[in-house]
This record gives sequence, structure tokens and C-alpha cells, in this order.
Amino acid sequence: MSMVKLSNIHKYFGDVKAVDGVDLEVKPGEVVSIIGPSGSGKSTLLRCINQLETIDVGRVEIEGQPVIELQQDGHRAHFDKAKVLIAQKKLGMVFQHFNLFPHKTVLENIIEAPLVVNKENRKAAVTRAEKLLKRVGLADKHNAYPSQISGGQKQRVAIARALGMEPDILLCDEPTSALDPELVGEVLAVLRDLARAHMTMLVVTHEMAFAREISDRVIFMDQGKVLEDGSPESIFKNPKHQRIRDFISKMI
Amino acid sequence: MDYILSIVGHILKGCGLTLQIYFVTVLGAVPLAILFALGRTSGPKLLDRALGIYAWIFRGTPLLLQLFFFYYGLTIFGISLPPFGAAALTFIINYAAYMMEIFRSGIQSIEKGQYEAARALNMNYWQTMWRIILPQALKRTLPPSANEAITLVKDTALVVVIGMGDLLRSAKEIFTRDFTITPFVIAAIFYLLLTSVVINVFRTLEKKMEVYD
Repeated sequence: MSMVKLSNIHKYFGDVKAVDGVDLEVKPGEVVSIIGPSGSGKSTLLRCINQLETIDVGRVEIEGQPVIELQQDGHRAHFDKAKVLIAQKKLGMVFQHFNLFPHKTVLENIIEAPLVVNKENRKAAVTRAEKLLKRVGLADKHNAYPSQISGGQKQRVAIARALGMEPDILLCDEPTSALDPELVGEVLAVLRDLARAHMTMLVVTHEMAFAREISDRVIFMDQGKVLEDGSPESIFKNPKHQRIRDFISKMI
Repeated sequence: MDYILSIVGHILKGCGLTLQIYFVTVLGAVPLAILFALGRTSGPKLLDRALGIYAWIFRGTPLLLQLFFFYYGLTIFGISLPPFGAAALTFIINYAAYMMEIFRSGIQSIEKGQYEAARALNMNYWQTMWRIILPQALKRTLPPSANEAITLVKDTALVVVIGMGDLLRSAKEIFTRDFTITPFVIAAIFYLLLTSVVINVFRTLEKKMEVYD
């Protein structure tokens, strides 16, 4: 079974076709990087998976459960809401701008959803949060507010927060794009660690070396379409399209 | 000295009513304003429109006129409110209109990323608003809210026009009896004390919420 299955996804912003008929399947434990020029629809595609953007046409399945399906004529399929919610909970997301809750401490950021959404007991949530903070190397920061830590630390907290809901799939939307260059490494190290632990991940990134190193598959998007979908070796060494060759030579 | 103390005693009695109206208004208007602000920001268009008209009317006409309307005007419809009820209703509806607009601006100032983070964590609407958006929005609206809270202390003096004995009315009674301005000076000191308390409460709140900036 695929962890994520996207079929014929279309997303328009007015006249702009941000995503233009994309099919994509992600297998368990697979790390998929999505690269491409800015405005190519990478982030939009990622956001269509967890419904931050509502697709205009297509079908999204998470672990076999369809969560949304819209046909060309606008007809919308109906799925059991409880099942859809369960499927949605398999997804975690990391944002370019972290989006931590500024009024909550690092620890509170992580336990918020487990407590409020999953109604977990506080002790269990805190124990897990502390383990996660240790994993991302921030065990000493749990009482700090987001404003008191660096960008790299914020993003690591954001990763811990996403993992706090114990997702099966982690969506990362340009996780290092807003960081100072010297802080990129610490975030990539955490993501690398997750990849090695076989977390299923979809990563939109501009870090070519990183994409090449950790990905099982790399997808190149251009103008809302998937131009090429293959192993890092094939994309980075022998891309079929001149467009990709140009892009990669510019990025490296 | 005894004279001044007797004046203070008399004014204190009026002060009780001032405080009652004050707290009833705060307790009524603030929750109502939060609900209305949520209605304006995330309710259907029609609700937003209706609340816009409500704000237009109650911010656009004198509080004094509204007070007359709810006390005298409603009798035309066979509704006759006691003075305190009419005053409380007027103040709550009037202040809720101002506070609604303040909270609305606060809610709208919260970054989209906060909603998206909450959504990505599968928080529902109420969880998102109550736990993530409103705490931040209310913090941002503390300064304008403090203005309203201070203005309300002084606006309570309007209730004399529907025959209620508040702080200022008590002072006026002594003035009429003894023809000295001392009671007015004392009344002014009372108002200053009350507004000082309000200012300090807000200062404390702002300090407390500063921790996360």
C-alpha cells in the first residue's frame, strides 16, 4: 500500500495552474525530494496533500484512505469524515517559516496537539515531548519561548512538534529556506536522522546536495508538472531534460 | 476634616453603583465582543454584514442617546426596564461594539502560518481559535482595550440621566446642598483612583504577556 497516492492533481490560483495534473505515489519508508524552480508548484503540491490547499481536480489518498476527490465537472466524492480525520492524522508538516506558537514554550508547542487533539494525558505527552527534544538536540530548551531561540532551533522544535503527533508521513516545505546558511546544517542533520530511521518523507527543498544524499527518489517539477521522477543518481547525473540540467548546474 | 470624611462617605455610596455598572459591563461586553469578532472573521458573509451594521449604529450614535432609548424608548414596545437593567444593557451593547472591532483587528493581525500550523496538527476551529489565535490576538489588543476600560470608568457617569445615583451624582447632591466645590474635587480623586487601578491591571497584564516576545 502507498503511504500517499496522488492522482491527477490540479490546483489553480485564478488563471494560474499551480499544479497541473500530477500523479505521485510514495511507498512506506521512502524519502522523496521535490525540486524545481520557484513557482513550479512544489509547495502547492505538498500543501494539497494535507488539505492546506483544496485541490480543484484529482484524488488524494493517505494509506489507502481517500481524503478528497474532485472530478473535472466539480463533482465531489464524499468520504466518511471520521476515517478521513484518522488518515489526516498520519501526516505531519514542517513549514518554511516554522510557524511555532509564539505564546507557548518549546515544550508546550510540542504537547499542545497531543493534549488538545488526541486528549492524551499530560504526563505521557510531556515524556514523549522530552524524548523528542532530546532527539533534535534541544533537551535544555524546553522552557524557552520561540522568540528566545535561533532559527535552526525553531525549525528543530517544529520538527519535534510534528513528530509529537506520531505521524507516519512527514511533509517538509522548504525546511531550511528561511535559515541563515550556518544554521542549515543542524536542521538537515535532524532530517537525515529521520530519513535513516525510515520515516516516510516528502521534502520540498533547494538543498541539492541534501536531496541527492538522503532521497530514495527525486521529483523535478516545472510549471505545475512533474518533468522527471527518478533516483537521485539519474536526476542529478543523467537528467533527460535540458531544463533539469540547466537548473541543477545553476544550483550547484 | 469631619466634613470631608462625610462627603467621602456619601460619595462612596454612589461609587458602589459605578463599580456595579462597570463590572457588569466588562463581564457582559468582553465575551460578547469576542464572539462577535469571531463571527465577523470566520462566520458567514451575512453575519459579518449584520455585525458591521451593529457597529455602525452603536459606534455612530451617542451613548447618551442609546441610554435614553433603552430606558424610555423601549416602553413604546411595551418593554420597561428598571434603570439598572437599562444602563447595563446599553453599556454592554455599546462597549461590545467597540471591543468587537478591536478584537477583530487583533484576530486579523495573526499570521496565516499560525492557522496552518494548527490545521496541520489537526486542531479544529474552536481549538485553533481558543488555544492559538485568541491568546495572541488578545495580547495584541491590550493597549486599545485599556483605552476602552478607562473610558468606561468615566462613561458610567452618564447613568444620572436616567435617575441613578452614581459617584458623580452623590458629589452633585452635596454641591447642591452646601454650594462648595469640595465634593467635585473628591469625586475627581475617586475617578483618578479607579482609572489608576484599571491602568495598573492592564500594565500587569502586558508585563505578564511580554515574556514571549
